[in-house]
Amino acid sequence: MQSVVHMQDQQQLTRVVRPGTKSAEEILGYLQELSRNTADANVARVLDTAVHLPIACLGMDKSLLLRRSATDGPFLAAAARNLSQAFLDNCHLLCDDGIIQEVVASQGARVIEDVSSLPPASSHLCSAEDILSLACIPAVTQVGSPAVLICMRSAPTPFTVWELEISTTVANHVGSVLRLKQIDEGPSETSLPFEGFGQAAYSDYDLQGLLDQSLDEVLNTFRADSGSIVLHEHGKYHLAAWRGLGDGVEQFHRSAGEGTVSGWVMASRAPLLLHGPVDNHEFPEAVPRPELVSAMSVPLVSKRKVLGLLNINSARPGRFFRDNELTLASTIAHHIAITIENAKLYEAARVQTRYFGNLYKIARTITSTLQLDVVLEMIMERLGTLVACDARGLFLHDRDTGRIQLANGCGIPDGTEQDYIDLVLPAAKLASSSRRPVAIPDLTVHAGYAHSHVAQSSGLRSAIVVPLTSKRKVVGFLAAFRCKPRNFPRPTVRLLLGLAELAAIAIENARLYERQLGIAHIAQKELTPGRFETIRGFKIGCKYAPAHQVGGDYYDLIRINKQKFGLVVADVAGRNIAAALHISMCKHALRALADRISSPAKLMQKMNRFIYDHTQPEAFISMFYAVLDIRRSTLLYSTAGHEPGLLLRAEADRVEQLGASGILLGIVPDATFEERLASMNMGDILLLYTDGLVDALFAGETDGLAELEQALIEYRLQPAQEMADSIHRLAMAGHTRRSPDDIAIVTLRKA
Amino acid sequence: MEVQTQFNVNIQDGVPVVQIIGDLDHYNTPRFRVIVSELIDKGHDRVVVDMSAVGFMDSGGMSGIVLALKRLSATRGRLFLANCNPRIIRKLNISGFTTMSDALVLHASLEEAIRDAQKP
Repeated sequence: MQSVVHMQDQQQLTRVVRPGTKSAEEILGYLQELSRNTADANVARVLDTAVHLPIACLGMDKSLLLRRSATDGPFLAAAARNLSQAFLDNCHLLCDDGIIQEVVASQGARVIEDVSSLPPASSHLCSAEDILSLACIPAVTQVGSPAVLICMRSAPTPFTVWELEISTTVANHVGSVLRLKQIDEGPSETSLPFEGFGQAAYSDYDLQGLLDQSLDEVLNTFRADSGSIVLHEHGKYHLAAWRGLGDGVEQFHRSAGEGTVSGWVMASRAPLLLHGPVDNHEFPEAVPRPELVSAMSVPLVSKRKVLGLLNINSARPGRFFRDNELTLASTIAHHIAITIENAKLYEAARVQTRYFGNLYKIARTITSTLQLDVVLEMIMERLGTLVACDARGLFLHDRDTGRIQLANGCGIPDGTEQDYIDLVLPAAKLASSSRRPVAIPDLTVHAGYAHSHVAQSSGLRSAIVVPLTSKRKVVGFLAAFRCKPRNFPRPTVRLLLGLAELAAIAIENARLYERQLGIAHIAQKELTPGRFETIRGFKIGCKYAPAHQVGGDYYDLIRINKQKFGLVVADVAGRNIAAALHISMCKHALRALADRISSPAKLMQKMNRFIYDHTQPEAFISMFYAVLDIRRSTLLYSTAGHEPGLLLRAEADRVEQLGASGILLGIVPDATFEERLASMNMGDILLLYTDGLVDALFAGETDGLAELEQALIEYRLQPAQEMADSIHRLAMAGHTRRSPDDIAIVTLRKA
Repeated sequence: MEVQTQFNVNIQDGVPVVQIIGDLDHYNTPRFRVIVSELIDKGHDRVVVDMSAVGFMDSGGMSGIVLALKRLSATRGRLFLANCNPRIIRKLNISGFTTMSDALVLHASLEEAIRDAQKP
C-alpha cells in the first residue's frame, strides 16, 4: 500500500505544463530528429537541432553551443539561436573567465541564476545581450567534453530539474555524435554502420525493443558471437537483453556480483578487454567460459551514473578485439546509456502525464456542479471507471450523530445499506486512523470479514476502502467491492487517492453551497409575492413552487399607472445563487424600464441587451411580458423564448395560444421581438406559466400543453387563486420525474 | 440513485458525435456541458448531438444546449442536433433558436447531420 506525496507530484506537473514547455510527445519528436541526424553522422544538423530544441521545447530565449576546435583546443561558437554577432564574436570571454572550463572539469551542469554574479567581462557580455540567467551543460563523453550547451533566459524564470535533464540529454547527444565522428575519422579496423546503429538506438522509446535492437547492431558491428546488456536497478543486476549466451543465461545470476568481470567493470566504471580464459585469481567468482577467445565488458554510464554494462564476446579462433574497438565499444555504450535514460525519462513523463490527465478529468467532472446529489453521483461514476467492481458506495459521516451513512451506492440492493455499512466499518476504522486506503484482496481469509454474512450472502470477495479527508478530518469513505479476489495495483490506488482527495473537496464545497442556498432562499421569498395587489375589474391569482431551495422562476405585477399594469412571468437559467441574483436584477431592471417604455417589444430589447451585457455567458432568461390596459381590457404582449400564454374564451370554452416570436434573453446582443395585442372579454381567463408546469403534465406520448388547456377549461369556474392552486396540484399529482423543475403560475380573470 | 443517462462520444468521419441515451435534464446537463466543452477545447467547431434516444429535455437541458451554442458561436461554429422528438423540437422552436440563430441546425437523421457538419 502506498500513499501519494502530493507536493512532489504537483511540482512535477508544474515542470511538465510550464508555459513554453512542450509536452513529452513534442520533446520526443525533437529528440528523434536529433537521433536521426546522429544516425546520419550529420554533425551540422545535430548541432543546429541542439540549439533549436531549448528554444522550441523548453521556453529558453537564447541558446549557444560551444565546440572544442581540437583536443584541448579553445571552445568556439558552433551553433546559436537569437544571439547577436557581437556576442558570438566575444563569447570566448566566457572561457577566459573560466566558466566553461569549470563545467568541463566538473562534468556537471552549472546554473547561473543572475549573470551579474559572473566576472565583469562575462557579466557585461551577457547583460548587453539582455541575458538574465543561464545554464551551462557539458556534453560528456568518455574522453572529456568536446562541447558545451548554454541555455539562456531573458526573464527571471528559474531553471527546473526537468529542463536541465532534457538539456543534458541534448548535450550528450552532441557529445556522442562528435565522439563517434572522431572515431570514425580515425584509424579503425571495424567499419561502423552509423546508420544501422543509430536507427536501432533511437527508432522508438520502448526500452526493451531498444535494447534488443541495439545489441543486435553492436554484435553486427563487432562481428561478435554473443553479448548481453545488463542493467543495474534497485541494487540488483538484471539481464535485460542477450544473444548467443546459451547456458550463460542460467549462469547469469552467479556471474554478475562481486569477484566477477561484470562486478569489476561496474565498480571501476572502466571498460575491460579480455583475451582467453578469465583469470580466476583476479575474478574468483567468474563463471568459466572456455569457449571465449576475446571479450569486452563496458560500463553504461550516463550523467555520471552507472546504469549497467554491455558485454561483447568472440568465440571465433583468431578474432581478438583490439584496443581501438574497446574505445568504440565504450562510445557506443555511452550512446546506449543515453538512450536508456531517454526511454526512462519519456516513460516517466508519459506515466505522469497520464496520471495527471486522469486527475484532470476527474476534477473537471466533479467540480462541474455544486449540487450535492449530482456531485455524489459523479464521484460514484468516476469510481466505477477507475476500478472494476461489482458494487461501490460512498459513505459519509452524519454531521450530527457522527455515524456512517450510505450517501450514494451502486450495485447495493435496497434494504442492504446497513449490511454494507457494517461490512465497510472495520476497514473504514483502519483507513480513518491511518488516513490511507485499506485494500482487502480476499475477504474470506481476512479475520475481520471471514464471518461477515454480507460478504458471504452477496458473494463479495475483495474490497478497497479509501478515506475522504477534508481539512485534516475524515468526512467519509469510498468503497469498491468485487465478487472475486483481486489485488489493487499501485497506479489504481494512486488514482483512487486522487479521486478521494478531489471528491472530499467537492463534497465540502457542495455542502457549503447548500448552506448558502438556504440564505438565498430566504432572500428569494421576499422577491416573489405570495399574493398580488388587486386590479380593478380583474381577479388575479398566483402560485410559485421552486423545485429546490432556490428556484429560477419568478413573476411580478407592476403598476405602471392607474390604467396599465405590467405582468411578467420568467424563467431564469439555473437553480442557484446566481439565478436568485439574476432574478433580483431582472425584477428591478424590469420595474425601472416598465415605467418608461410602454412597448413590450422595445422593453424586451432593452432587457435582452441588459442581460447580455451584465450576466455570465451561460445565463439566459425566458420571459412573457404583457401590458394590461384595464380600461380597454387589452393585453399588449411579447415573449422571449417563453411558453405561450393561454387565453380561455369564456363564451366558447376555447383556448387561444398567445405566442410571439422572440429568442431567449441574453443569447444574442441585438435581438428583436414581436409584439401582439389581445383583448379580454368578460369571464375570459389568462394563464401564464413556466415550462416546469408543462413538463410536469407531460406523460409519455402527450406534450403537456393539451393537458394544461384541458385543466384550464375544467377549472374555469374556480376563483383565480384557487384555479392557480388546482392547476399546481394537478401537475404535482402525476409527477414522477426525478428532476422536477420550478413551477410558476399566474391566472387573470376579467371579472 | 444510478445515473441513467449515458453520453457516448465518438468521432465519425472526422466529426464528433455525442450520443445521449436518456433524459437531458438538470441532473445530467453538467456532464453534457463538460463533454461538449472538452470537444470545443480540442478544436472542434462543429459538434453533432444524436438526440434519437432522448425522451425528455427540461430547461436544465436547454441550458446545456445554450452554453454549447454560445461557445460554438464565438468561433463561428455550429451545433447539429439529429433526431429530436417533437416535444424537444417544440421547445427549441419556442426558445427562438431554430428561427433566430444560425448556430443551431436540426436534422431528421444522424447521417444527414454528419454530412452537413462535414461541409466546408
